[in-house]
Amino acid sequence: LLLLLVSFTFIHCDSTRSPRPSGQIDTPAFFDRAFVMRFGRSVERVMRKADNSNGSETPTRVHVAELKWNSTQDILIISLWLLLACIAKLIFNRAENLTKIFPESSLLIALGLGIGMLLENSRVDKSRFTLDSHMFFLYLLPPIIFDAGYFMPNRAFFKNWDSILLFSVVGTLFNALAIGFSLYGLQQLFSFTRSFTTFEILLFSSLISAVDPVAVIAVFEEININDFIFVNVFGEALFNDGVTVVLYELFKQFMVLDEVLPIDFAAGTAAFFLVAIGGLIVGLLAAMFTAILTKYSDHAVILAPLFIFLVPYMGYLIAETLSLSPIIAIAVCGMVMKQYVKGNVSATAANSVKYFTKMLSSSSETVIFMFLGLSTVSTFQSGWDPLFIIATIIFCIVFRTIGVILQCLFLNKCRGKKFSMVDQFILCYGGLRGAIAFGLAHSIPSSVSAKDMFLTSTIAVIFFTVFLQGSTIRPLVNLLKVERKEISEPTMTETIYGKYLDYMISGVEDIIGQKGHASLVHDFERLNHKVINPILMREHAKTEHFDATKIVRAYAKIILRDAMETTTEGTIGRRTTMRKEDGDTSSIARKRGGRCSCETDQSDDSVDHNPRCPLSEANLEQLYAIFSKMFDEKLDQIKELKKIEESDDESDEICDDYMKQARRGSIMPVADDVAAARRETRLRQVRPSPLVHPIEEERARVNSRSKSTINPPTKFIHQ
Amino acid sequence: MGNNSSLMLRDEEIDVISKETEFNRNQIVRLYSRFLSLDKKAQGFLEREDLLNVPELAVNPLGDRIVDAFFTLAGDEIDNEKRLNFRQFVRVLAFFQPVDRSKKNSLNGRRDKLKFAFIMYDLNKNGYITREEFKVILNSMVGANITTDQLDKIADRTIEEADVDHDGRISFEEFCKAMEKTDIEEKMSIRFLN
Repeated sequence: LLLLLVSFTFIHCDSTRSPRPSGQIDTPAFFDRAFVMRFGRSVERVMRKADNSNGSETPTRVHVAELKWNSTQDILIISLWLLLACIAKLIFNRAENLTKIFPESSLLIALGLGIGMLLENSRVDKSRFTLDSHMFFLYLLPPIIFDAGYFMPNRAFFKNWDSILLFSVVGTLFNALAIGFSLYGLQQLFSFTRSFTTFEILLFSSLISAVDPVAVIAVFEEININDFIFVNVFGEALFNDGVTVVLYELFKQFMVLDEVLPIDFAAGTAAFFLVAIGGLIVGLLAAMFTAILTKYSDHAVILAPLFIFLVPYMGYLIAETLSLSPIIAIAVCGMVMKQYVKGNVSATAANSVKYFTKMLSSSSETVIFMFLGLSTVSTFQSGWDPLFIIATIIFCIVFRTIGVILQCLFLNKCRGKKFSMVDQFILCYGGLRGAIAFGLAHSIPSSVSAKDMFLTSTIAVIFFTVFLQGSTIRPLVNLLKVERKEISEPTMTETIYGKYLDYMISGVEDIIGQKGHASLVHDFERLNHKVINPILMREHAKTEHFDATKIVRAYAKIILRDAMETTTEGTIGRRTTMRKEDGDTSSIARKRGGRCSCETDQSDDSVDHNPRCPLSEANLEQLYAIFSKMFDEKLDQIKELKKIEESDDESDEICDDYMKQARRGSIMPVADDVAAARRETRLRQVRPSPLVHPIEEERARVNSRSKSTINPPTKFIHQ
Repeated sequence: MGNNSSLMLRDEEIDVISKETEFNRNQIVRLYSRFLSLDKKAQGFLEREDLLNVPELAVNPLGDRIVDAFFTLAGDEIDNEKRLNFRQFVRVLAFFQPVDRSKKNSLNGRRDKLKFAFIMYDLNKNGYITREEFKVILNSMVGANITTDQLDKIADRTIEEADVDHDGRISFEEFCKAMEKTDIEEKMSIRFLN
């Protein structure tokens, strides 16, 4: 029904385009689309009436209701497409058998293809539903790139900056030139259906050689690959936009010149630097501006998320206006902005930013892929040249492989972390083409006679990479036993020791007088702290020394996770004591057993918690605010506790009564004031308070599930 | 033992050191010139102050611990003053060489690196990291911005995670186990310039 409604809007729009004399309606054309019209002739008539009433006929009677298609049609169509796309995505998420084989992106393209063929038969004006480059580059692409930049693993990125730079600049250049010249050479041997000049084919090869960030995200995110490979492929995809855009524009201009002088090549090289570095600068400025704005937005808290979205988007638009690389601008902005903004906005605002970004980018991605499928139908009219397409695909694969191997050979000589053969294979295989290539292909000037051939080949290559490579990458990754991203819970140990090792290596590098990675990071951290943070971050968020906030945040998250685990599980494991050597106050260590019962099987991807489960991300962060206050109070009380000894035996059982438990476990009498404090906190738990509500809810749920009851006060105190 | 005050490095010495530590000639020569520049008093060995005088080390929160570790691992104690000659200097630095995964001694390489890290923590050199020692390190790393309460909590938590036998302190084995998931070979490697 949705589809039909959509088709109606198209049909009606189609009919409103050409002015009709009143009373004469193009009946035969309408009747041809009979199968579409079967369900809504009456609607059609009403629409006609509405059309006529706006036209030259004078209305004779007062209308009870009118259909105002003209005023709402554009936005209605857009919303309908978005809704359709998202519902489709929802359905695909349910159909697990399908998503195990094909990546979601390919399914969306298939859906778009299906709809396209449906609408094709209704002879609707085709230009209405092709992927408009303008709309794509200005509205659909920015949220995806911003999301990618904001959630980029910065650490892995900066560790691999050399390889990313090499791949994106040299690799793309090599690919573009190699593919272009090979195709040109091939043309001399066999002739294709359309002929092209050198620069025309170089134009084509420059857009087809670019790895597409949208496709990479779509496919790689599902297979959860380790950060190292992901950051290399994705970093390359993101930053090769600088090269692609420059080459594209360059060859476009070369095409119209009579002869190409060396000065033009020099201009091209200069343009590359300008585009890339200009984009970088715009991104940095936007990031700084956002940080400053969020710093001063503490009185109007609701504005902070707005700034976080608006300023990078404006950066994108400004870069686009100045013909710099907008993708680099918005990606850099997202990456740089993150740490300063996180210190300036409240937890709720940061949360809302996170979810909204994900929502925008997810819906954009969905719409892009669907439109890609849709546009295929309309563009696949002419210019279908199998030989050219096959040649392009083969050259793409071959040259990418050669490029990756050569570059990795060079890199492995100079780097600590080397690219293994498996890594290199995944790098080659992850060279997916996507919508950006299509958008660029669409905007090839029509003066190029081979445009339709280029267009169809671009589509064919995109389909090939997304369908074939996208669907086979998961089994390949499993087969080659590529290291997956560890979705383990962070331990305090890793956070602290990680920092510790950084400082240590930085120090040793200083001793031997070498400026390696660690000491550079350390220098930047000091610069950050002294100069940048005071400007961009709020007063109270500034750290005295070096970055303590990360450790404290990690600690808070871990404690919260523990607390939630014990709320949901029915057992508390063995309680043991830990005595200090000098024997005064001790804290209780506890081994926790059991898992959250809503964890799905962990053999594949990420652990997915039930949204109501306290261990899910959303609830965890929500509860952090509640718990952090409580823990501070409780820990004061711990300090007054005496030793509590081991209780082995049936310690799996938890007492109903807290006092009974304490008595069972302790040999020493519990201090009076502490007992009073415990009683008080227990009462506080029982007393209904809005803060504790989710915990009450959870406890009620668990109590109904398990036999033994859980004693929150025990847990809190013993934390 | 090479504790001579001669400032010239002889070829045989370079060869011996190269065999011992798997640095190549160029790296050793470069390290030697660095050694000389650190040895401002031209004594032929380094003392603690020489290393502590490195300006970047002064702002490193673990600076003095690193220096301490250097001397503990390889220094001689003469007249109550710790001394480090060039050969010992290079030997300590050999810990930070990238581990060659093809070689079968990768297990040793990892343990050696962890040994260095452990020694930096273990202030009183009794082979265990106690909670107090840990708190000192933590304090120097995260500074005075977090409250003592938070510091205690974090320290307790970290010790608890690593302390397998629950004796309240961390032995070298427990330390190694805690660092299992960290890619030590990669994190603790420095590419020495030629």
